[in-house]
Amino acid sequence: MIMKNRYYPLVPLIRIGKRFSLFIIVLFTMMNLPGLTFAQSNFHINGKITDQKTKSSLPGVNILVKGTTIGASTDVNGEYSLDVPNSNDTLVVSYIGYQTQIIPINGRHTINIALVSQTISGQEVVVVGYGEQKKTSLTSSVADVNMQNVKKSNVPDVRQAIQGISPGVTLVQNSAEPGNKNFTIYIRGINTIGSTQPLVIVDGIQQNLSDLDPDNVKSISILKGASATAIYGSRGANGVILVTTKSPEKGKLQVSYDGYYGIERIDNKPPVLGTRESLQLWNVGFENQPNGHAHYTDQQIEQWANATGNDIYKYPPQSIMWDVLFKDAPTQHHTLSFTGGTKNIQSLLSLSYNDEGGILDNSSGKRYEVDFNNDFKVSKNIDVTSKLTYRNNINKMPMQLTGAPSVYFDLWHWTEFTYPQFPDGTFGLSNVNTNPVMLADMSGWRNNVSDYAVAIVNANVNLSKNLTYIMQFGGHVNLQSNKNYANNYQEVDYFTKKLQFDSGYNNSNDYSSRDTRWTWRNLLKYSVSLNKSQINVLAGYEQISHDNSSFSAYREQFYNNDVVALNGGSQNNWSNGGDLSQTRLRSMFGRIHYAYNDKYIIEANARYDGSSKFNGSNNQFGFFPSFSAAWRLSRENFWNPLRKYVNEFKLRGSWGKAGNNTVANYTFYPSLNGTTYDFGGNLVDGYAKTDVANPDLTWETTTQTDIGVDAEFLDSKFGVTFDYYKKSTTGILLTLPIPATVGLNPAPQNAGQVDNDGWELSITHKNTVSRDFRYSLTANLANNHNKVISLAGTGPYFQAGGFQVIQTGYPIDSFWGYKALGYFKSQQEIDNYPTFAGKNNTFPGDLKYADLNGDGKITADDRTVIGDPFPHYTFGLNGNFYYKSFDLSFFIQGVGKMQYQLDGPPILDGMFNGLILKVGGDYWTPKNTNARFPRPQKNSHKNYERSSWWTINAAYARLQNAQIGYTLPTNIVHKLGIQRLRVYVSGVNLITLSKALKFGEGPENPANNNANGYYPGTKSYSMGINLNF
Amino acid sequence: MKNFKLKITTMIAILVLSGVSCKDNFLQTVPQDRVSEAIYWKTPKDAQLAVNNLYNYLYNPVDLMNLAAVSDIAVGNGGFNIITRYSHDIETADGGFGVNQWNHNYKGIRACNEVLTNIGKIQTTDTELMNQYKAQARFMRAYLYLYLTEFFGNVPLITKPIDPKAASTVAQTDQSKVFDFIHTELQSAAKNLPTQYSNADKGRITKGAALALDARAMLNAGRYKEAAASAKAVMDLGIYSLYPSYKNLFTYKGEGNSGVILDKQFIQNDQPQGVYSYIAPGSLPQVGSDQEVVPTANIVNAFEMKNGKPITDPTSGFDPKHPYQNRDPRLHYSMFVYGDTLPNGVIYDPRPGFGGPDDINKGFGTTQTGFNIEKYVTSEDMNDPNNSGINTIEIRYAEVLLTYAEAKIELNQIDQSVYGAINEVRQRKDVNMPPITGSKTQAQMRQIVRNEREVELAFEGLRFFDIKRWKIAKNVMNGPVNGMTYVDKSGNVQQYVYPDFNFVFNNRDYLWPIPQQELTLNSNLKQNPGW
Repeated sequence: MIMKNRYYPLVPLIRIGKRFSLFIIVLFTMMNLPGLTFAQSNFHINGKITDQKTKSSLPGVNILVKGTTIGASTDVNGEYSLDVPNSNDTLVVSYIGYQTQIIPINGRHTINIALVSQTISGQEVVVVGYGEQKKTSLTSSVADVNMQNVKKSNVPDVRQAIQGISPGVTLVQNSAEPGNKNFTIYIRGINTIGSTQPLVIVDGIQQNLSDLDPDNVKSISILKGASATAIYGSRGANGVILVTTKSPEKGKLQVSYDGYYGIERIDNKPPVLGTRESLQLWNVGFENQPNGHAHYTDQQIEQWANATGNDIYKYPPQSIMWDVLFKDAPTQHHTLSFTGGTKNIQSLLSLSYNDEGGILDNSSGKRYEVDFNNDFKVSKNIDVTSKLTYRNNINKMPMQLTGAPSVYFDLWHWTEFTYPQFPDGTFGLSNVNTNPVMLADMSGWRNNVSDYAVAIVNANVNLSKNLTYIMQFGGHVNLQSNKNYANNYQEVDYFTKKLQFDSGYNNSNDYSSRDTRWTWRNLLKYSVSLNKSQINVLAGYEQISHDNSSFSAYREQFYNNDVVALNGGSQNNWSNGGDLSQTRLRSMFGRIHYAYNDKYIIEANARYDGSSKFNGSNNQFGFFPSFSAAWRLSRENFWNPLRKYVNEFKLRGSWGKAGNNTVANYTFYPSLNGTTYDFGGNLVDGYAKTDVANPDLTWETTTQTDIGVDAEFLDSKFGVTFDYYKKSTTGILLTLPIPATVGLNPAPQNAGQVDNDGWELSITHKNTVSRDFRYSLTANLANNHNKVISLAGTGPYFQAGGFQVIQTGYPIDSFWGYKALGYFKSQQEIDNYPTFAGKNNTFPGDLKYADLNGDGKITADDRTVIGDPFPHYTFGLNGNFYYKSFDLSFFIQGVGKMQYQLDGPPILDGMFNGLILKVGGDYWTPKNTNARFPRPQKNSHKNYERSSWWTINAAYARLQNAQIGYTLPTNIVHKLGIQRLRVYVSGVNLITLSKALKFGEGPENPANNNANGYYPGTKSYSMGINLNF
Repeated sequence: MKNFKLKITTMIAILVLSGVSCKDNFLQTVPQDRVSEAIYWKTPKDAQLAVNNLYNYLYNPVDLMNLAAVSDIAVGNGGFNIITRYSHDIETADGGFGVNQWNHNYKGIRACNEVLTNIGKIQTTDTELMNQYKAQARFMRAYLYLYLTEFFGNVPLITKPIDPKAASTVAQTDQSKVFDFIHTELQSAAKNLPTQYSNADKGRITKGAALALDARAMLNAGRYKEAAASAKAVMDLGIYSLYPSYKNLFTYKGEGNSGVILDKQFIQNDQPQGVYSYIAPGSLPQVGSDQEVVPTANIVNAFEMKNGKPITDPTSGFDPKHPYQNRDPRLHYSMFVYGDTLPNGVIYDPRPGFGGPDDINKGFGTTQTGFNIEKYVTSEDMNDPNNSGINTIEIRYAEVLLTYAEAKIELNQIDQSVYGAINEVRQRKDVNMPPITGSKTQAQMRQIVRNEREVELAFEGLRFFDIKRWKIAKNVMNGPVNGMTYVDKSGNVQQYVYPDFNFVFNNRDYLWPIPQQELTLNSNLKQNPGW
């Protein structure tokens, strides 16, 4: 009977991907089920549950018979009573904030249980490279991400969930495109000029963080200190993120469902200037031209500004495009998992579905995933586990989303007074014949599909009591299949009905690639306790082969936009391409960990890596050692008087090296590449040597020193972790210039040095105020300084079109431009100081740039570093509150000090067409000389050079998520055959405070890419449930 | 169970052993997308393929437009444009543009040197073909050195492939020696090159091209005797004549016409060029804001009235209210001015504030002078502007004629052949300007040939070198950059002025600075005066 009830909802649940409402129906149906009874209960138990320390009784504690849905929860007095099927059953007692206890009944009728509050670090175990360690015996800086908070973030992307959650781990969301979000991740600053992405290891093999469902994740560790990363050798320099996904659990089948349904909305619409003020500003701009005069009469301006009814078609306000283009979009996420098993075989099946509607037409992201994980106990000493994942990710976007013209670019650049779409379906066209809504709806589509499969098999063999052998085979294949289809479409003018615009041929760009990576690993682990000494030894061998092949093809002139397969295109002007590449890595590594009396701990790690990217025995292998030590002062006798206040105090120190091998393949190989030319109208082939080969190339190396303190106060009510580190990356893979007279492109070399230093602080506090009210708070704060120490005598290297610079003595990618001294105040001042434009072209109210080299001219030589692109004082604050059956959590993250370099429409003030912001209404006139914006002059750019005038403070604080939940009383849900049911409402990116917002910039917009085609950030509101059967 | 355990253990042991032992070359991966240098230079085909590649170093049409933009006849469109900044003394002198020229040319020279050094390794009996390949490489190398020495004066004369170490000590060669080298190489190449090719090889370097380039080089070097001789040699080949339609010279119709001596070959789709979107008016379909180079009033004013009189002549009939009427027809063939019909049939109207499709004040990318270049802008490319197959003319017969005339004038050997050469250019069928007659002084003839060169060869990459040779750059590139003349809404004649920047040309600008990085990497190089 009970079994039936338990399984009843499953069939419809499988289809739940479609509609949340379906699920409601299921619930509703269940509630009306007649004759719902429990299994025969022939053994009665009762008892009281208390806090071990305070002895106070604990209400609302869950007591569950293991492997069944039978359970109860304590009443206000902390008492419970329960009928169990069998006197030999086992109870699972769980309560948030306390360690879960598993208690065999052993025939007892009264079982009182004292729960131990979860200490903040205590006996927690942390995943480290190729193993696990007790948190107290860690000697290096490893951040253990609180999964409870990750889960409550209510976002489909694990990267978004861990943003700001750990000090020193910086994630910047560049694009919120559904199904294809773009993040920059760096750990403890940017080490290098090349790739700065940390290594991501999921279940032992290198995978992407991007598509990981937060619901499937069991733990995340972030290795920051060198003694932790050194074991990843040549790939560890940028830090390592270790993710473990969920494993099967023993016992009877458990089913859980988590899901939410919500609405996404554009996060930030910039405040724009009203029509009247905009036209007046334009007039001033026209008047300020040489021989200039106003273009609009006051009457015209009023007519335009006061337009109503159908006149709006001709005279739309600037904001209308934003209002039409972005709409609220539904978003939903569902995970259904089954786990259970016998002593010898356990299994976990997890199905998840994520669907994000885009806030733009034709944009969406969908993800389907199946995980099937099994643990087999082959014999007493042999365990075999497997993890199989299949994931299908579909991301759809309008064809012209990025670049120029494109949806977001056009929204900013030249469609400020364009009507989005007329009643007859035609689109308003700006004077460059474009319109973002038209591009979103008509330009075509990009469909990116990835099929991702992972198979990981582990065999654990206990060779003796102390010695374990572990072998792992891990394979993944990622099949990417992209199709970009540009429509052929025409637009007629709404008023004249004349053809206004023709997009030209339709065409299709197809791309597919296959990326496979095999990891094969052998580990020996030896662990022994001798008296007070604990020794752990790890030795490993690993090899990774990574193959990539790709194919692309192009056709155009399809019969119509519905014929999309390549075969339907014309054979005129078709083309294709493809590539193959292979890389290999072979490594040996080891670790020795020694602890004396759990008080003095030392550790050494080392890895020896060989890579196919480098040539010959001298350069192919690299050695990466690390050493670390910790001293738990709080275990010394002299600490006794202090223990009452400081119950845990540990000093840590580490030193180590890790590498970075991110460099193109085959740079050591002298070769010729194909070119083409044509004679008499016929294509001919050519061959040319184009690159210098560098046979001496090898890794770049980051050396890091870290000292840290872990402390816990007042019986672990408060916890503090502080780290200071210094990193130096040498032998940076840098393509140093060679004399151009060689006539070949230079090869990358090992040169240059970048240093980072910084500190990280995290404070936790946990308190049980009363029986009904508990809370915990976690705060973190970090800062990092980045500096280029050496470019081997070369540089500066200009980036991003000359607007950022890599230069010795400054942070990487510092903003580059003129130093603005304010406005010219008088003609006399203009006569007496160098001007950027000619003296005849400079007027009071124009920007005055500093003549830094004193040559009497303002030239490119007067540019200097005008800003630091790195966020400083990154912070996060996380709170969890529990009151009776209610819980509330929030997460605030932000940056205390950050600079942002404005560019493009936000500063151009309509002088080159483009959106005119409300702030732009404050411009210089003889009567308003303290204005934020300089003297407007149409077509003149002298005031919009990259300068310190446009470096703004982009510090921000953001309420990243907030959630209120209610757990239904156990006695009610149990009657429905449900173990636990929690319902909640949640919001993401609810509030953002920043001075950058009025300039239309989200605090996370990538510098120098403002408004140029990144999918805008979103906020979302959702409601969901967590359900365990 | 025990057996089973044993089996598993054995299996694992086998796997471990097999994995460790068998893959000794595991870390040696071999590229599959390129050719190893060790196996190249064996067959005549290797030589052919390497020579084919050299043609990519011929200047692109976009390069030629940029060369106009650093002279007085055109300007980078909009103040954010790097070329504008370069030629108006705002950008650092070794910023982008000059460095690109240096790098491009030395890359091409390396490729030529690779051919000339390695071609001898090839075993073949067809020495004539090999000599032809060598001559093509010699021509290309001379072509690139001519640009280099024009930009930078004394430059390292590198004639063999060198490695970075050797390159860090090479010294400059005197410009006169570089000109000697160019002359010798081109004369030698001319001897080994055919006058014409079969269709399959159409576009390869001919004898005429080598001689014509020599005429250009020697004119720039001020070696008028050699210049006149080489130009005359081209004229005497008897295979070139002026194409009757100036209007069609730079279109698909005019491709490979009788006046083309060397062109860079393009084919739609397969090997296209994109100069259309670099220069065409903003209102033409699908061009957006790409236009980067626009003409200035300097070139517009250089076109005579139809009657052959300059517009500054009070008797010329020039009407400032209708400034573009009754002018030398080449004005309307070379560029778009107010009132012209665009390839899409729309009337070109850039007048500021008049709301036309090309209104100067329209915003991003519209012309900032009120003019646009027309050469290579055709209706055929309108719907696919980055996919033009029009061959770009590198050297044409009209230049040779005018080079001949200028050299003879400078030598003060002004005979009838000089008048003939100039008039041949002026009286092309669809140009038909009044001939130059009578007996003019050397100074008058100098003025005439210079003006003729300016208008006939506008935007073809020669003006910058001309104004330096004539030492007039300081006069013509000084002060405000003037744009179109138009009648404003109140009926007054107005001249639009290009925003913010003035023309600036200092004495030092006759030579560009050696890129700073080159000086850093090679202490034997000496910077040009004034930089």
